[in-house]
Amino acid sequence: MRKIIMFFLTIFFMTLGGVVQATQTVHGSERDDNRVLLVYDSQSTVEQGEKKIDTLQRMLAGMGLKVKTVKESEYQKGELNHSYQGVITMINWKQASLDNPTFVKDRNQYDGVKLHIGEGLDRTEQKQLQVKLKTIYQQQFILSDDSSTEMLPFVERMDVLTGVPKQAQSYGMLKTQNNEGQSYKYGVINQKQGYLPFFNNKGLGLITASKMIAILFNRQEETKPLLTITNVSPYSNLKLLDQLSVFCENHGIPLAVSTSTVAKNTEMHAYKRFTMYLRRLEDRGGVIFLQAPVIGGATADNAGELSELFDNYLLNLAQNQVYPVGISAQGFWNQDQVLRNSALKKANYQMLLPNKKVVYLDQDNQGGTNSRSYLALPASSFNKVKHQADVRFAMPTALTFKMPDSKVKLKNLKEQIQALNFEWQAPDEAINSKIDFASSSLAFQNGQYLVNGKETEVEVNSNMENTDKPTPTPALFKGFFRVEGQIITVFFAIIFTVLIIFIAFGRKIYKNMFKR
Amino acid sequence: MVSIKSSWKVFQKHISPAAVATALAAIICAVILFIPPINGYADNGDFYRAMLSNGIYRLPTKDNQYIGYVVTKFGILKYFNENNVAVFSSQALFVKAAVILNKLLYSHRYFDIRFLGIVYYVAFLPGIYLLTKALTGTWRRIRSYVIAILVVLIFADASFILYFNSFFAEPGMLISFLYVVGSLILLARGDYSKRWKLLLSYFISVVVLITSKQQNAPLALSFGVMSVGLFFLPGLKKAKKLAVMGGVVATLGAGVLTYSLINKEFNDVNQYQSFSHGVLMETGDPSKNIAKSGLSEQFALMREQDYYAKTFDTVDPSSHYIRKHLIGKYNFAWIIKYYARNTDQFLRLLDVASKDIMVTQVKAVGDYTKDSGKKAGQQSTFFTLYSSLAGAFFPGKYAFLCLLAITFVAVYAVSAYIDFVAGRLFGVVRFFLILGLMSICVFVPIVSIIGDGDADLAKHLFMVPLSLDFTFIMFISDILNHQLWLTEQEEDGDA
Repeated sequence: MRKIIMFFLTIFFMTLGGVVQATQTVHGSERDDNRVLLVYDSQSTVEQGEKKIDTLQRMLAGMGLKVKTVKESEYQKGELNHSYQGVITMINWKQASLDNPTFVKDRNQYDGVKLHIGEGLDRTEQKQLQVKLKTIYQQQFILSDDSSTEMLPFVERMDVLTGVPKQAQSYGMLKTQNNEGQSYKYGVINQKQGYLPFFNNKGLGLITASKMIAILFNRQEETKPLLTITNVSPYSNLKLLDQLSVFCENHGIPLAVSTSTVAKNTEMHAYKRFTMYLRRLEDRGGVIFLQAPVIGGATADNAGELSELFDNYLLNLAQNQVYPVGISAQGFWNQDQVLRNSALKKANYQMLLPNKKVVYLDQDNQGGTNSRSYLALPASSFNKVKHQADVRFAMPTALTFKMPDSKVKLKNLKEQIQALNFEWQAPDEAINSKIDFASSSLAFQNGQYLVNGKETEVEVNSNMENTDKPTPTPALFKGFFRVEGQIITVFFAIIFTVLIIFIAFGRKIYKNMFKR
Repeated sequence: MVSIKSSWKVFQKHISPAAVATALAAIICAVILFIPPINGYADNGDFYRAMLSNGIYRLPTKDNQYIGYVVTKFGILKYFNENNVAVFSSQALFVKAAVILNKLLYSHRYFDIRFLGIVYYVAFLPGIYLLTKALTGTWRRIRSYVIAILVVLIFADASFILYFNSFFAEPGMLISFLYVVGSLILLARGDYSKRWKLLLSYFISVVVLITSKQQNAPLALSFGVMSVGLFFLPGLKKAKKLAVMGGVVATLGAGVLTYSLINKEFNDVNQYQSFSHGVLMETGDPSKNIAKSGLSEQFALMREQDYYAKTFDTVDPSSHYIRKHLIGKYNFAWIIKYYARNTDQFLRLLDVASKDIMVTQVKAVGDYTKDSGKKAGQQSTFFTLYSSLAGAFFPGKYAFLCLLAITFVAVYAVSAYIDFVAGRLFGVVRFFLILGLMSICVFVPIVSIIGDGDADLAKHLFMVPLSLDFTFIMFISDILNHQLWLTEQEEDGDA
């Protein structure tokens, strides 16, 4: 009997083990449509490679793709598996060359979406793309996409494709400046393979690349750009901001503002004034993105403090009827788990600005996604693009201008805005956002602000009174010590006076001792 | 009874009060600095100034190396040190000596902070000897030994000694101040025939002290006042008078040099914090006040912000915008004018500065190493009797500080007058010394508030408690020596 029970038990556990293993295999090979592995060779700061990586990361986040970034030399065997929808190889410095055979082998065997950016397309990749490679030296190209064109900077060398099969799709054309007028395809997609000869982090090159990448990863979404003023802070010249918002309202240009704020001193008149100008902006149809603070000496241990800081920011703004629609931060905030989880995740709308000063608290290089993530690009990078009206944005994009700090700069800014020929995104139509913080929520739906789910109106001129500091509660014993200090002061004053008198008398007596 | 008396006589004959003080200080300091668990001060973020320029760097560790625990091990740069001298300071003399000693006895790759402790320790003990010798003169009475013990109690207090195992500049200030006061009193007593040695010791120490930290630059004036007494030295020939004059000029020159070598960043830090931690503090809502003085009222929101944010900040104070629209729009003359218009606020700030003036132990950082098993940030209580008592009972009012200064100056003015009339030196030199010390007590809080607001007050005011301590010990020893008003030496009664 015992033997029979043991036999059945053995059979049972073997079956169970098999089922568990089978389940794990299935899960292990399950493809996640949101995940992309970005493998780069080098940051090549001389060529601004780190900026290109940042832009690509922000772009992929804007497409709703969770991007994991790995340096090629640190790639581990088997890291590229079927849990990724695709892999992007980014070569910033050809001379560094791919020297991790494990990655090259894994990539060759991988059957998901593959994109190669930059030089160094190897034979296997060429074969899979069904193309041939041609290296061009010392040329200046004009990039054209539809009817928009842009003059590109001079390049020392570039690998372009020839013999592109007919079934392949191409995005943008590169035409040489010389007499021969040769042209090459910029972005090429052949089934699940893609190639970009270079990656520009501005202008038409970037927009064309983003269109091609969006199609390759099946993420195309045509949107209008959001006009955004960045670097606004409570210390900005708020009158200029007000004049700008009036200008935009008069010209029917919807406006977004990325502003930092303070969590302390919110009882001051200066804070009331700051929020008053932001309310005026909201009243004129503008929307506000709460800009992340600068990082000083914080460490990963300050995660709680950061979350609380954002709660305070939002609470104080909301109390003054300023309702941000999202959070804006430099791109690296999305590559750091503390910054992402303690701040960015509070909002379902985010705006990722270019990196300026990178300070990680706990870098994980696992870019998160959100309901909507705007790729912020300086509007000036489109100055050289001709026929701007024809530029199509394939993902949520914010074209940014810096907050002007003088009347002259404001005048220039107005001229620049008018010169740009884009059709701007209207926040009340396009934005459907929500921010959860502490135990409250702020939402912006169909042009209506909701506080904790209830519709609310912005009253422009409210809350400018009562700006005096409330009387603080006196601390225990404070009075005692004050009195003690005063008593001692008086005591010493008396001693000092008596001392002077004694000195005067003493001296007289002393002198008299010798007088006869 | 007879044997006790005879033992006492033998003790008196062979061991001077200065030797007692030095021996006691040597034992106590060694226990604090070198016997495990060793003590020191943890880094508050300022260590880099002394480290980088002297080729020392932080070894990478998983743990946070700031605030909580004292770190003993650092790395020594193997190759060329590309870091510019962050701050011009005489502290480099001590740190460089410690690095050489470390390389000779320990390692060329790693630096142990205790070698810096040894350098300070070795420089400190002769200072204690000199001061005790100066305060007790040639006497060996019981009260002379009491003075010696008081010197140890006050100046070997752990709140001062803990600085030795750190990269703060304060130990250099404490040590050189001991030499300054000791040399000056000994000169005044006239017990030594070779005065030039004491004069040299005095002036070198003054220059080391003034150049040890940027905020010491204005102290050159106080030391100038102290040096005036030297012109009353009897029998000074023309050449020697010129030498003394040269010393005074060197003192003032050191101040000017230290001030002129304050780099731009350091200046910006001080200027910014004198606004955010000074002008905006101790007042209701400063928005309108600063608007009246010509700055945008929005900058009022910067109240309490540090130049180097501890964690997060709304904007970077070193950004172009802030430099252009705030830091570039005011200077120290603007601040003085602002305080002249808002005197109540300034007086409140001075009271804030005076509040914890005698709390000399740095409370913001821990005193133990991590492997001691103590909690992060835990403070040492060993041999802190004097600093604890003074910190608890000294009244925290600026007015009190001023009255105290007037009282001491008046008390010592009496003997100065008597000695001046009688053609004696001691009372006159001592008076200028007290005048200089009291000017430090009165003016340093003002300079600190104007120069850097209430930021880092404990460290900026370091010279104030030290000056008060020197004044107290002089006052007590003068009473015990019966020399407060009449400085003529009486015959040794119980010697």
